Amino acid sequence: MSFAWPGLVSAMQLVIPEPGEKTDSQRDPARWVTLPGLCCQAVGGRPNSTLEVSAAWFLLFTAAHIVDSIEDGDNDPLINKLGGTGVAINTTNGLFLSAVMLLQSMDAKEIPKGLVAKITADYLETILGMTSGQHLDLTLQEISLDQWWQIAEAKSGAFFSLACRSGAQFGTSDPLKVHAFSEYGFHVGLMLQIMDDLEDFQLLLNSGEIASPRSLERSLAAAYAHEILPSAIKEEFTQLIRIGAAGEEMSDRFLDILDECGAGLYMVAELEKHYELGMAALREAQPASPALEKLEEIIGVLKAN
Amino acid sequence: MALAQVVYQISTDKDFASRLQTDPQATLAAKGWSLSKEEIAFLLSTLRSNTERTEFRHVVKPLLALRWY
Repeated sequence: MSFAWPGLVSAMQLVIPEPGEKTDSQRDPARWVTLPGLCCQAVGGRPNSTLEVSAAWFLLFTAAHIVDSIEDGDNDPLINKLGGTGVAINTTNGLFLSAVMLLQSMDAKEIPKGLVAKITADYLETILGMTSGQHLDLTLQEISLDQWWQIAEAKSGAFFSLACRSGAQFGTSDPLKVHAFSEYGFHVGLMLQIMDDLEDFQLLLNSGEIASPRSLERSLAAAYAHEILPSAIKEEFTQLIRIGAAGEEMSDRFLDILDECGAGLYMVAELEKHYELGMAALREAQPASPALEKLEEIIGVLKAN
Repeated sequence: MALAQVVYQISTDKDFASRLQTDPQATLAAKGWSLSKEEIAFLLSTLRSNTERTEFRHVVKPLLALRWY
């Protein structure tokens, strides 16, 4: 990367999470950057060969987070720190283009040219698919349960699948093994999306109020409730979201509806299912290795929580 | 969306939950539903153990420690 633009480079550095920045490693987003290297190592490749794709993936990860915050209207302190929405959009442009430059820089390495072109195209197509998923998320008035899964698969499922698939391709050309890691990443991404979706519910539990009715209404728990609740309770549930469930009594009623209809059981069952499918994908990628064990540990931690 | 329908039925119909534990395949078939082996195994193990961990309020807190951002 050129350092001819110190202002933009500083802004990009400001938003990229430093490894170990957070005291609790489970909350450190930088931990996901190890996925391409681990998948490469698990199929017998050298993890160092994934440096460019790992860095590109992480720049895109960071950019996606900022764009998501802006589009959802979140009050993200990072955007204020950058100097507002305009600067944040410009910084994400810098991150997107730097990621593409990193992928192109693989041309200078001893990597088969066909592989570089294939991986670069895979990155661009996946990002376009994520953008399409985000478009759906932003434009649909209401989200059905099927649509929630469609959007989650197009966004976090596809993105984590990309990390694992691209890493594995530096260690093997066996399409079955590459597919196995791609599937593993897909299920990790979906498990993370299920958890990510619960942020607004945490706020509700803590403060007794709904801060963002729109994002709560578009959550997995709400999509599930809308899908299965009888119409009278569904209407009450929707009203509680739209008026912000202000006050302890209303927020309790809102959470009671979710409890009574089995929203918690549904989310745990989906987590369990995607854990089992992710583990099944890893079993396809045998033989066992320390890297494979680490990948099992990563998905196991998601399930345990 | 069979899983969502089965989970809702378990949560709101004790007889259905009981029949599911006794004969899962026949109980699901009677409703025209089909689940994977893994889904059935998980639901049965949850029904047979402490279901507190699947209460919504209980699910929200620990999961949040692992947001992907």
